[in-house]
Amino acid sequence: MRTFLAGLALLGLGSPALTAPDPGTGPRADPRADSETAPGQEAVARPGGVAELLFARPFHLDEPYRHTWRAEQPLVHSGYLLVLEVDEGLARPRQTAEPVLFAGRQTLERINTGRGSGRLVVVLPSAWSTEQGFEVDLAETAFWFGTPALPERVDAAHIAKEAKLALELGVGAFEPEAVKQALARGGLALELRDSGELRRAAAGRILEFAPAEEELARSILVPLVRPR
Amino acid sequence: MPLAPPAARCGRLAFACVLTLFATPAAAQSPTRRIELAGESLPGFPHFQYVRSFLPDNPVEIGIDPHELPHLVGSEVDVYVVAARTPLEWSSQPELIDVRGQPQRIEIAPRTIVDNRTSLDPGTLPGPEGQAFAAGYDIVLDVDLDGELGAVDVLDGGRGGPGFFVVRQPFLPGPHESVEITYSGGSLLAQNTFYPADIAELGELPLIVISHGNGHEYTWYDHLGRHLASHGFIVMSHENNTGPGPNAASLTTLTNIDYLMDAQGDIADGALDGHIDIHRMAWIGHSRGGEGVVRAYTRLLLDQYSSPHFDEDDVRLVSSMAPTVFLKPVGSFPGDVNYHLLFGSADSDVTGGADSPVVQAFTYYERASGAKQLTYMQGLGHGWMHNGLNECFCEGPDIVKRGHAHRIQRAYYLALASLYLRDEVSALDFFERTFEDFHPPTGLDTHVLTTEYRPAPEELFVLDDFETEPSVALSSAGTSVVYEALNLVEGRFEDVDGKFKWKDEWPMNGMTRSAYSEDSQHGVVFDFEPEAPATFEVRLPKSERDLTDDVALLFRACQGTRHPITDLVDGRITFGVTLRDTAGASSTILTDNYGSLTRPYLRDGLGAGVGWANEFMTIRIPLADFGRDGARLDLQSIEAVRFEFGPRHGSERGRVGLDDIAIQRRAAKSDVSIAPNTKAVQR
Repeated sequence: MRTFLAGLALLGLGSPALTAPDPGTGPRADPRADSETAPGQEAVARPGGVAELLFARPFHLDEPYRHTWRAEQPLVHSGYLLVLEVDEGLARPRQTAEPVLFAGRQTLERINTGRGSGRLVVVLPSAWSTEQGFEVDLAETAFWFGTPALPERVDAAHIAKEAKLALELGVGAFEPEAVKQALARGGLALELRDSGELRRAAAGRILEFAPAEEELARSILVPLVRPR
Repeated sequence: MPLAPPAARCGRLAFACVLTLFATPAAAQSPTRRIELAGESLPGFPHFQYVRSFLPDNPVEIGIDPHELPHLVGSEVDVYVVAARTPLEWSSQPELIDVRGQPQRIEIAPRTIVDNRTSLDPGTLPGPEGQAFAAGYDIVLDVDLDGELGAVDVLDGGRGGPGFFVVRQPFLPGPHESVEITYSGGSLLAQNTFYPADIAELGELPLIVISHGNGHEYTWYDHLGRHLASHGFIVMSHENNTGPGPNAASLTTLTNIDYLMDAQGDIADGALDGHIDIHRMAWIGHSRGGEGVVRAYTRLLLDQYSSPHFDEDDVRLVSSMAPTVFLKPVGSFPGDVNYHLLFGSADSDVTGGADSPVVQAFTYYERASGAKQLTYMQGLGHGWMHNGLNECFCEGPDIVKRGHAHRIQRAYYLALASLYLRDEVSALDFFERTFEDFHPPTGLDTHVLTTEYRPAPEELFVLDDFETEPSVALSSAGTSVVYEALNLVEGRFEDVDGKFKWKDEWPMNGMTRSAYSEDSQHGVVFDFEPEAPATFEVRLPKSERDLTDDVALLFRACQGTRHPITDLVDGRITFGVTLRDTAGASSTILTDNYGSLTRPYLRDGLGAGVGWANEFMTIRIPLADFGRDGARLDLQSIEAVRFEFGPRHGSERGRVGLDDIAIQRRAAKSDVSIAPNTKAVQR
């Protein structure tokens, strides 16, 4: 899987359909009116680009927060803190629309940029229950960069279309053994108060996996003053 | 203090008003005359421009139009430069004390102002003390040579503010030591805050909020934070949720301000407690954050966010640095707030290109309906607006170095903060005048900036903004438009084909002012050649022909990128502006006195050729200048404004865009407001 996904990114494989505008925006009178694609972005408008799952740690929050990286903004009570090895070119931050990072039927919240390391620390929201555990099974979840868009505009219908395109290109889940190793590296579930503590935990992973972004990590780990 | 209605006591020329100002016995018997005196020589007619502000080290002159003071022609007078006084101070303290040590005796010559231009100071007048932006001075012509301001004397200053200002060098640090602290209130509430070390003695200070862009960090704006704090502002740069998009970012702008207000008693051991003037805020955002601050302000306007600490009236300025344009105007517009846009032509991220609406940052300037200003710098990249990564995100020739970019930022943001948060009208010159005419040292003489400026709508009478009347022959004011020009087209300022390559079928090439169909900025474009000069004349409505009580003529113009004529000219363009009265008398001023239209930045891409987006520039000509030296022009009865292009009036040929022709009226506000023409209202 790892080799195949990396190949997708490196070879620039992708169908013309994947470079089409945001499928959720509907017909357009003005050919540019709803395009979020900036100059030169056509080359990265393809799925794939997630090479490896390096780290996975479940978490639970006492206080949920809004997942602002998709349009419905569901509440996040639990999920996974992950570290992904990705194509740094696809992860490169820009002001115009970026390739959205998907995991199964969810968008990922990016904590860092992967600058200098190609490693992204991300949050994957997932419901959890004592009876069934986490709704998302990492061993059955595909990860990929999709069409450039603003995550805050991405809804379930958009994700479904992106997932279909990704599937057509053969994007699939990581090998079960890789997931098992990532979970083992992550360890026991984090029991945290809120998203602030979650971000601080994520900052620790930036220091560990993406040390080139130490400044970012330190800026998250600054002293707390009257936390909200 | 409300402005007195001067028109009733003004003669044919409004700039020679006679006002009763002082309560001293002598002054009460006969009014002291107040006219403009301080300014700078111009190479051509009107030979002299009266200005409000001077940069440090710049010479100060006076110019006396003998037609305004005919009774003094042939007389010797003493010229005094006096530390500015209020009317009350003048009435209680009429003695004249020249800050230069002694006054200067001059004889007022007949004929023209050219013979009455005199250097007052080579650039040695002291700048401001403390954290003030400028030092004010009055000028007195002591006609009776008695060393006191009296009834027969002439004053530039007093009511309405000083005669002129010497501003501080705005890119240099201020008088306060700045303190920097970094802390967090939790998720997306980390803040990097700067304040003066002596804040305990300074009372309440205006708050400047900085919202970073995507992939940027809140700690990357220390070059602005330290600078503005040293000038007495509190600056808070915060964690910004830009990853999801500008809508999410706008919320973190708002929540971070609320957190700062809630936690001020605990931050820095309470150093800020009680010192944040939440009613005087400026919001500065970069890229997605630049769009986010506009969206945040729109949330307040639309009641989509409620704060226990502030509302939209507390935001005095919104400034976007290279903003994205993801959002359509219905949900993201600056409304009537004072708005500023800083943008660079070499930006390789928010490129300003014609190929995507998201990168057409000029659109936000067009959406603003209040007072607004634009600073556009050739060669400026996206990454040099912050102080983080060593990557400029730039493309094109003559890239501006980071140090120079930060110098420009420091200068213009101090000017903006002083103008809109402290009502220091002296700072307005950085926006109202063209860059060629007035600017801080940028570090290199070759830097090219263009500026646009438009006062608040209540201060304007719009002759033609091309928005409401689709016919070229009819102005927005409903009057007739007469023109003679090659290939003239009135239309929407949108580059339809998404490329900058010139094609005859797309006359609005290079116009990136209307990103979405809901954005609708219109104007006119045309050509002129040596054998085919162009004119564009707009008639004034009969009800608006008396301009004696008005201040200035404003318009904006640009060159057309990659047009064959633009390529042939390969330089700046100038032209003439004429006022004509109903009796047929006219007066023409050439724009090169104030500024010239730049050739668009020589960046390639987006089709064949070289040249990036069209660079509009606002040119503001005081109406009084048209009547200089006894010009036989009746400002009480102006029939038309005419733009004249061709060899007789400047450049031989050119391809130009023209828009927003308006008359600036006297401000209705008091002279302590941020009304832009505090100086001008004295005319």
